[in-house]
Amino acid sequence: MDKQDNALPVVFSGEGRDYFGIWVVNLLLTVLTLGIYSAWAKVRRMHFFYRHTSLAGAAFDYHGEPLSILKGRTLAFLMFMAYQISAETQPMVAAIVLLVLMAVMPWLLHRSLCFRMHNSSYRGLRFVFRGSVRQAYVVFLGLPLLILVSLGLAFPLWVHALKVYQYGSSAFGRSGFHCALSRAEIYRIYLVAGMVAIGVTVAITLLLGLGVAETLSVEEGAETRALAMAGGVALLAGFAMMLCVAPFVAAGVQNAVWNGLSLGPHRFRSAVSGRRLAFITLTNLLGVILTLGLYRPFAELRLMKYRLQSISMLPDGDLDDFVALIEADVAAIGEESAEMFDVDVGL
Amino acid sequence: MDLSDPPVTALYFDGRSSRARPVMLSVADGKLVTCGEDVERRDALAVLRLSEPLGHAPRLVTFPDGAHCEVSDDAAFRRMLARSGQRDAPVVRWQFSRTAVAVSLAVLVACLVLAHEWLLPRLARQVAERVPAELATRVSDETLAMLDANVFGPSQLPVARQQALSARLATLKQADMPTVRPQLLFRQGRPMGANALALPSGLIVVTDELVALARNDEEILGVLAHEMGHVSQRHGLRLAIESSAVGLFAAWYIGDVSALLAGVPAALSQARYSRGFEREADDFAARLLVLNGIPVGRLADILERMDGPPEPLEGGSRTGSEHSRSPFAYFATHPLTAERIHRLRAAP
Repeated sequence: MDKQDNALPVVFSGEGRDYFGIWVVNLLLTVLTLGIYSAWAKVRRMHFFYRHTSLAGAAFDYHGEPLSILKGRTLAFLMFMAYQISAETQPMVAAIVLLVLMAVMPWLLHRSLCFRMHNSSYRGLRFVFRGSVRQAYVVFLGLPLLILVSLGLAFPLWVHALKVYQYGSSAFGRSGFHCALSRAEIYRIYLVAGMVAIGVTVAITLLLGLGVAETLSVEEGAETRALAMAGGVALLAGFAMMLCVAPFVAAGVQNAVWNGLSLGPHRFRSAVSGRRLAFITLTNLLGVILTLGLYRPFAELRLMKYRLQSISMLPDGDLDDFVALIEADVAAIGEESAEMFDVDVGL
Repeated sequence: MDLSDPPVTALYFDGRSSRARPVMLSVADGKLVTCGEDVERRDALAVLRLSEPLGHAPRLVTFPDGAHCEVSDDAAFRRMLARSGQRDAPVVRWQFSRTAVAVSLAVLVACLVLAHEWLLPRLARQVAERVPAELATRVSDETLAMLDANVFGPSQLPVARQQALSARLATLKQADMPTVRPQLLFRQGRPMGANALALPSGLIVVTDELVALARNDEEILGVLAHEMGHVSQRHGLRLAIESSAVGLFAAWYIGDVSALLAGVPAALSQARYSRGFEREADDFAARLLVLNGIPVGRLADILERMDGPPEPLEGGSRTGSEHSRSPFAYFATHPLTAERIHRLRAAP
């Protein structure tokens, strides 16, 4: 009970109106510069989200430099082009390029995580990513191969390892985060999701089967009917997954990760509701369609706001103690070398 | 003058600990004066990193030694800076100006229209020309198998008649390089009725109903010439590439994984493109017919009596909905036949 009372909620104060302007100008300049401006656009976007997010009265800050991001994007673009060009002319070379890409990708993703954490700060203290490169190879190369071999059964295992690596290897100043995420919990989330997915698909198939049988006249061939039905089932099932499965998985994973996360003696709580997330997904989709796309920045903001504001910190003791503790934590900022760059991946 | 501004309150962090110290900020002689308990510093404005204003977010002032200030009252801070001659970067001013945002939006829409109307057709043509013949053949064979299983029935036309038409087609003189070597196939059209289809590999399917509808062989040759136009211009592949590009873009933009909604813009743009393709194929047919001494009007004659004009059949991988693949969808997307007939009649 005591912990409930002094919970520190994450507050997000960004407004769609302001973000819309940033989004439009970002998009225009990105198009006019054939993508080069996208690095600057990303910095502006990150600033908007970080600086509107606050905890215990102080905001977060983003320090990424556009040129580092541009470097990372250029690298990714060159690698992609190398693969594309070789794939068209020399399939053997393309295979080698692909192997090289697979071999360096974990290292790049590790640099990217370092970049992101290092460039995030709160109350003037930077975050740090302490994960090892070796672990990056396990998470970004070993386990994905295991997913292939296990025909997808190892997918929750990978999600677990990724989250533990991403969150559990981070630190704020000198205090490290600890991520006590159980594999069983992640497996439970995906097991339920899998069963719902199968149930929904079966239900749609049955309902559509009845409907199609009644509406289609006999003169059209049975094959045509089967084909039309298969298409219909695939479309509706895809739509149902988007509303009945994906939001619940996202909510479950976010809650599991944050409820198991601790920073020193302080804990976190996340209370995302899958139903609410599904509602936001549906209304966002409708908004984007009805406004011919203009609602998109508002939709993005709305989703982000909900997910952020579902998180709160449970300090051990009261707010002053928490502040005192982190105030005592003197940052060991041995500025990392300028070798860092950002590689965009949807982590 | 500067002194007339009231100082702005802020929180000061020294960058070594996360302790917050309340301070007052003011500007004097081009320097930012930071004053508070244990803090007293003057820094030239030029060496400071002033975070850009962002709606309701606090402004951050970062000092060269890593210390920073968090300013909640952005409006007061902005007034203070403005008086000292500081100006936001142009991009920042645009982001928060209604006019600039509206203009940006208009330019953005113009870019999108340009990409769709000008860039995409050209890119699709380039890509279609580079599609290897084997791929075109595979796609065509698969499409034909799908149609045979679901739409067509076996042709009831006597073999002698089929061979005669094929022979007549083979003798057509062609001016355009590279020449098209069409291969004729006969099928019962069933729901497609009197129609003809061109597949990317050069297969042309003619329905029994079309042969029956034709008053003479020249009308059939007119339709075949039109289909050869589709093959020669690679319309099937181009259509597939264009509509899948639009579909992918829409799916990415809407964020709709089901491709249910993304299929709508794809289908709309497909209808628009196919109109241009019909025109190109008609022009090709007109040239071919003139070269072979057949009146162009023959094609117009049979068009008037057909259920729907001949249509290139798309092939290739696409992500659009299964519905647009159904033959019934074609009739909804047909360009105005009357306009085409008029153009053909007007042709020399």
